[in-house]
Amino acid sequence: MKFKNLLAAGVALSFGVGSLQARTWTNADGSKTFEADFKTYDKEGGKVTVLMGNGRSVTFAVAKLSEDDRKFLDEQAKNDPAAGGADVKDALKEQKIGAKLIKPGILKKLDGKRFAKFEMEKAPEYYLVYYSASW
Amino acid sequence: MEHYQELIAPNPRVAMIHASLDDDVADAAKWARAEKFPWPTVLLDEHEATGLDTLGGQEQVPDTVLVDKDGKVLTRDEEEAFAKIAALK
Repeated sequence: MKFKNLLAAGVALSFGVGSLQARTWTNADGSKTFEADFKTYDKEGGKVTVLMGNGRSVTFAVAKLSEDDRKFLDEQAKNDPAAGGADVKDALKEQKIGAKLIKPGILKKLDGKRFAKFEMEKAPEYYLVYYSASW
Repeated sequence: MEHYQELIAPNPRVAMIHASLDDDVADAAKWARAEKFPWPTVLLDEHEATGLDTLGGQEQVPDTVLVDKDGKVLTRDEEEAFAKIAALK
């Protein structure tokens, strides 16, 4: 997706952001910005996925972003597994359920007013799945 | 919430996952805030990727399904689910 198209999408969708506190992203030459929540970062593939205000995910090349945004993404990558997290991740990878839940960006948890990336802190044998909605 | 704090949060053998059925992420976040959910959420557009759409938990709202790590459904009855969880040591 071209950055100007992403910008247009961001502007168009920003009206639907509501209470979400999106990050402001800037393009590589600093001339354009758009707002979206960080979702996932594929460092090896050089791709980032962001969540627009209407819940739509958009993936694009990290090279299109400013240096500050790239630093932010590197920090996100560094902060991935906490101490002991690697063991939990390895155990979850062996599970049918856990292996899907540890995919980047799948689990969210409230951080203030918005959802933030979340990683499992344990590798349970059982999951209680609670289906609910605001309506 | 009381059951979660007592039986699930401190037990390494079980975790609770909220499968949001809201179409809009803003609505899902608003709902999670209103209910003060301490557990993680999987948004609706990720249910297919995680297999949460195949557990039969969308037939009524709210609904609970207890599954094992291999995805085997143990019960769709909330009371029975908490009884099973309480028996886990």
